[in-house]
Amino acid sequence: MKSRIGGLLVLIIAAQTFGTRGFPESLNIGIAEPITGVQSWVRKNRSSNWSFKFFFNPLISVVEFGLNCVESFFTWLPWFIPAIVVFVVIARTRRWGVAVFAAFAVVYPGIVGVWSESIVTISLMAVSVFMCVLVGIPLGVLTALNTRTESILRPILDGMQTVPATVYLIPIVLVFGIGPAPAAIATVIYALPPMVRLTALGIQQVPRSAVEAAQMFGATKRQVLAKVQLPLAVPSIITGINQTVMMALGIVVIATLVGAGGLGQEINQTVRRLQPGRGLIVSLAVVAVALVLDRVSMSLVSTPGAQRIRIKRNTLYIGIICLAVAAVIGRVLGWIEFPFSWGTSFADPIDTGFKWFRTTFDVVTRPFNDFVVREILVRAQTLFNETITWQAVVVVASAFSFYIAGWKMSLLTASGITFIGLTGRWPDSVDTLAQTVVAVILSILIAIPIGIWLGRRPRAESIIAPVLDAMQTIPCLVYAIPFVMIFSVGPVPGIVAAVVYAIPPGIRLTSLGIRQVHYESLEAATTFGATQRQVLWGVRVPLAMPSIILAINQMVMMVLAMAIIAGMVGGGGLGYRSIEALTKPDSGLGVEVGIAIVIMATILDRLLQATAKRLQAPVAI
Amino acid sequence: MESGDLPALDLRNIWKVFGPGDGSRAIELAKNGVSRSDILQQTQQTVAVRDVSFSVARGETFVVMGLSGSGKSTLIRCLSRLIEPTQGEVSLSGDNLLAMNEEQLREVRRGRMSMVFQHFGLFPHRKVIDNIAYGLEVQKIDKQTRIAKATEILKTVGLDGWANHYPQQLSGGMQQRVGLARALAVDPQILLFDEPFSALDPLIRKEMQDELIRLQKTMQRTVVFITHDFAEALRLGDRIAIMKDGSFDQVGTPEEIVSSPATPYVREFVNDVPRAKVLSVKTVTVAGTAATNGRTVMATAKIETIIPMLLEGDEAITVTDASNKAIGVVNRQSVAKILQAEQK
Repeated sequence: MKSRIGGLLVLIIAAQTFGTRGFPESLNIGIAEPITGVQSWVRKNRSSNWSFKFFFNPLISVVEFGLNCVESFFTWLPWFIPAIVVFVVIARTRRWGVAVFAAFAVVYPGIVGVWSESIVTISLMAVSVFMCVLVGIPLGVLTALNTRTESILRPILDGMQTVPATVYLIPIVLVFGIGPAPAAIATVIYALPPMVRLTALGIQQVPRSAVEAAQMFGATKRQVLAKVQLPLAVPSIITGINQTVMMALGIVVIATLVGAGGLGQEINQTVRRLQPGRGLIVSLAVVAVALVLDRVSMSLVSTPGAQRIRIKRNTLYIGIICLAVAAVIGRVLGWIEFPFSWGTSFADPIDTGFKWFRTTFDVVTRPFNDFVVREILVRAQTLFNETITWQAVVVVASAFSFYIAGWKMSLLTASGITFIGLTGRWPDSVDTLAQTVVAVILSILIAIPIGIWLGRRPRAESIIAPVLDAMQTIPCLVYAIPFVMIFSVGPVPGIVAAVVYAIPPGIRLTSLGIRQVHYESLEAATTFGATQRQVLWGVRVPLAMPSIILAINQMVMMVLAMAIIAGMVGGGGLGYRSIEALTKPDSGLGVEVGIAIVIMATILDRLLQATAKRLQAPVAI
Repeated sequence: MESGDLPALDLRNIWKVFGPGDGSRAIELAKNGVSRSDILQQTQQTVAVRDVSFSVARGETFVVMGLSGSGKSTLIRCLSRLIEPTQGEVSLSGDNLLAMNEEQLREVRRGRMSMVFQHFGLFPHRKVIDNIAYGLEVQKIDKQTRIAKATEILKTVGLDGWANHYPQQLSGGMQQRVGLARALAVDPQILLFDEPFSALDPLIRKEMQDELIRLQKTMQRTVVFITHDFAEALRLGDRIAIMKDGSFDQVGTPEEIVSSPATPYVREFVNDVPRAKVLSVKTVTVAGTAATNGRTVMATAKIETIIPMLLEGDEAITVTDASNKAIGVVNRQSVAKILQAEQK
């Protein structure tokens, strides 16, 4: 052991003495050039090549047609019809409060004056989620039942969740151009993974004995799938649709970069005009859309044996006819748009509040801002670009990986870091990594203690949990708006927004871990006379450790996902480069950035997962 | 298919090897006496079932008893081809099960055998009645017929009135009654039970065992029953196989096993058994004659039943066979001897 440490030290010193400081540009392997070549080929052949003529262009037309249909239907519909339908659908489950609330959420965009924008967004959601379901469920079934499909699809799905959305928007812009239809396709690609995963999961989770029983009665594979596996997977599939909706809403803002319009565009503008009040109000409209879709889809699933109000078929038909008549009458009387809008009257006081906050707390925020920028970020830059050699970085990082997860991981780390350097994104990656580390440390300091505290207080958690869940549906850019107001434009608002964005899942996972500790372990500790504190630190926290590490892991991933938004508000680093790549568009740069982020995310993810595994109590064989 | 003299179920040299590869090497090693863990190390394969052969006569209840990891669940899945055996033969009244294609196998499962599962294997998304009718539905029998049949079976297992509940609204014992009803609804010749009662409370378990004995008296089906409970095996089985590490240690009637356990492993189970309840008078009969007008007892009666008689009077009791011929006597000494063996 001692000789190993000695050898490592010698290696580090050697790397530091003989290596090159920073990562030399001369080693850039020029990965961008061939990709830029493809880009210009696509541009030239967009109108003549067969794949565009017979596949991509018709696909765009179909999607466009769908979008137009949905949009004009909702525009035609008087505003009160969707509210009534939503109310009735949810009220069938006898949860009146939720029904009223959801009906209110339907009219909320009207109240704040973004009715037509939300129709654009809802149409985009509807069409992309429909396509996700159409593609995702068969893929999920294949993944669950066919090991070969699984081995091909799984790494692709994993990769898709770490590649920043801006990066794979680039090929979409190239192939499909700009506009609502390409935005819908981009949304489908972004939101597809949970649909596939949860369908597969649902089918795999069907009790083996249920499948065996069906087989024993001589059911064919098709009968097992249609009558046993799919029906039992329905709850999981609905969760998948839910998640897909949430993911789709999550990139509503980024989708505006390829021409999505709607609420996303509104939010984007409020950032540029620095109007946090309006930003907040419009993003609440996004939350309202998410909430309505979530509740409606949940109430459509029937849990076996659940009590719901039965509606006779005739009553149903009469109801539908009444609604149709009401719609036509409403249309004739001109009750189409929402009759009043209180948007600005909410927004202005919020804006004033932020201005007041900014001037009053300048004493605190400015030093914090300066400290983070000068003492941490700038220092990290000089350290990695001018002081330490890249060889030394590789040696230290891979030694650490070896210690945590063995030689395979060590090899992955070494080659990954070197590859980032070879693509020429070393300085940008250092920048992003430094910001990520700052944001993750802050998130850990906030989320873990709160999570531990909440884990033992189920009542407090039942109040806070819905708030935390709602926070996850707010588009991440919205978090950045107030902080851009409070701090000046630069990396700090991005970091703080990332922290706010990352802590809800961190809190949830930590408290889940604390809560799920088996009661027998706790009772055992108590009967030995342990104090409350001893039970917490000696039993609960150690047993929840794997969960806590996963919480940290999740927060790291979310902070990295936020890097792009940070780039939008002046954070620099890879996030900024990805936006640069998308707006130019420069596919070569985009691919470089994508590779760098995926490598960083993969290494951090694997290391944290390995740590969690090491901390897990060994299971009996 | 008229083959009355053929056993309902016949297994010859069944092997099952789990793990990568075709398993032939692991079987070679196992035949040469290499231990399970050494085989696992050398081939990454586990021998779950090793060279099991047995046959079950029509109407017989054959119990396979073994502890967890003994391979009994794998074995019952091999004989229904839920798991493909690595080697061996399975025949159903002479039909080679392993040679059947998927369609033929489905036909067998639809009409000739059905199974009751340890964790019930009920479909949580179907009502009790639809669960029971499932096997008929797969056979595309029309709704009216299958519901009528399912309702009838529901009565047989004592669950009328529960047809429109969902399985998870029922207690464990009732759920397993549904499982049993579902298996019976297709009217199979062969019933497979995979530890059906092990998830139930002891009292409910006893009740279900009685129910099964009662049903079996009227139905006379061929039953293969898997259990880890030796007492259950003794109660239910016409014959019992004790399984350990993938192979049978001993096969015999409850009485044969209890009176002469073949291996130390079997003896461990037998030690805990109240012999007077299992063994018949025949096993304690000694040569001799008693007073001609004295008391007599049938050789097949359980020892338990003669203890009061022995306490009443000192003299020996004459033992008679089925044709009422004296074959020997029992006395206090011979009974005490066998009961004393229990204490060892």
